[in-house]
Amino acid sequence: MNEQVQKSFKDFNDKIRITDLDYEEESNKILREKRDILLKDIKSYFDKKNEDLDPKDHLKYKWFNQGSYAMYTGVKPLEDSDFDIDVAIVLNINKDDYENPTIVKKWIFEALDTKVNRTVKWKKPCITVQYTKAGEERYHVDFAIYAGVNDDDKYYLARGKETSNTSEKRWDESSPKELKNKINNKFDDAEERKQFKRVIKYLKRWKEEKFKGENSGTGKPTGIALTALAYSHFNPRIKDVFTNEIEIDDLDALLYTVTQILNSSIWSEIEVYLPVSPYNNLFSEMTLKQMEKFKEKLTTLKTKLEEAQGNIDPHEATKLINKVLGSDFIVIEKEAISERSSRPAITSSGESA
Amino acid sequence: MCKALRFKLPNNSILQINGDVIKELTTFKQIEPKSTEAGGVILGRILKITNHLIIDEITIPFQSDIRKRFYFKRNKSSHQKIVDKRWSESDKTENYFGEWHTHAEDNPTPSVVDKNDWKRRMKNDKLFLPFLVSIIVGRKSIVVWITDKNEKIIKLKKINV
Repeated sequence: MNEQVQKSFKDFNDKIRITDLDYEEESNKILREKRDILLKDIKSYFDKKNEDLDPKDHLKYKWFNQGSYAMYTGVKPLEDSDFDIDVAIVLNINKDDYENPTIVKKWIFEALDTKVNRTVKWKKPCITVQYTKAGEERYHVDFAIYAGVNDDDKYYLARGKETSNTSEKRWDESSPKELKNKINNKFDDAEERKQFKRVIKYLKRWKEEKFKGENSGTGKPTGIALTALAYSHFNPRIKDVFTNEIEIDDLDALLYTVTQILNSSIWSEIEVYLPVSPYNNLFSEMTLKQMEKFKEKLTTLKTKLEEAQGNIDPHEATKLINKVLGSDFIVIEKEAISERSSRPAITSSGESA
Repeated sequence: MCKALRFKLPNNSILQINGDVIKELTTFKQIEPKSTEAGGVILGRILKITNHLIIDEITIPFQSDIRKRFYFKRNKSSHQKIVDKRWSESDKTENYFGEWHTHAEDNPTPSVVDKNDWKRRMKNDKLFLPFLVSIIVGRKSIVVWITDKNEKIIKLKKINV
């Protein structure tokens, strides 16, 4: 392991990570403010709705961040792609009282669809608020809506669009909090946990770089699919195996994870399950051909990382990693790591045969 | 892109020839019956902390060099100019390591002319390293030797990864 290369990984992580939305930080301020404005609109909507209802029938809800923000695995989007935040809205309703979940989703749609500077869209698993800037999509907030008071004490996600056919309008068992907890609590050791999160972020940025301009429909794996893969295959590399001293090696941790994914059964089964209910297959949308392409790209990643690991020159090693993880991974300058000499050598002409 | 090659030096540090250099060297392989010898100087850096040696540049034949089937003679000034230029451009880190040339044989061994030239350089040239690095590019392999202060010529072992 090379300390200079590890330092580059650390700098890379600092560059790509999205810091906690609810801590004071300038870069997230706009996003947080937008989210809070939307939450306020939802609150006023339900306040107004409840005015006409008997107090015992009042609709109440709670909200929390879900998705990569909540799991600290968020990665800044590349130039020209948009930020997203995921918010869970859990209503105090029983799914059995609402056979059609789009009725419930419509409340959120109506609560949000009130301003001209935002576009509110129906998506199957959520209601999305898209903010655009000069015609380009800059960021969006996804609201996932759950029924939270059910006979079996589970959460159910409202799925479907108003225009969907009946089979797509359904309540799906879901465990947003468990997922968050499972990812956040997989490792007790703080260093191990941090490295786990970093490796997830490296994989997510790699995906953005290597599937540029694509979406999940054309075979780009989703962030949650990569997170689930890392959840099953990551193993920490934070200690020297012989001396047991702290020796953090992100390159080896990433390479190990990629190797394990490639050796796993997902290629024959095309199956990667969410580690919590509903335990759905996160690769169900991928075709065989797309899966092949994904495997090919992952194999290239492995080859380059292996080459980088064997390379004793930190300049060359980081150059190789930069090719797979993208330009935010800084190549170490030759001059910074090489000895200076007092003069150039003076050599005579010579012959060989 | 070619993979880097690594060799073990007698002092146990490592000499690495970077992938780009390997790629360039192999373009001069004497495959065709009439292809002539090529050669030039090897430039590299010493890494801080580890003291490993990195070869990341070479010069290639100039018009002023003499190229025959079994003979290569390189001109002094044209190659020296590049050594000087690269040294100053690289904040004094890039410097001369030694010489390379090709052989029209599969697995090359140095000729008497080669060995004498290496020893003479070790004695007379003002070198950067305490030894001279010599690479011979054969048709099927690239072999590296060093010539030390005592004019002992040592073939370096490749490190497999």
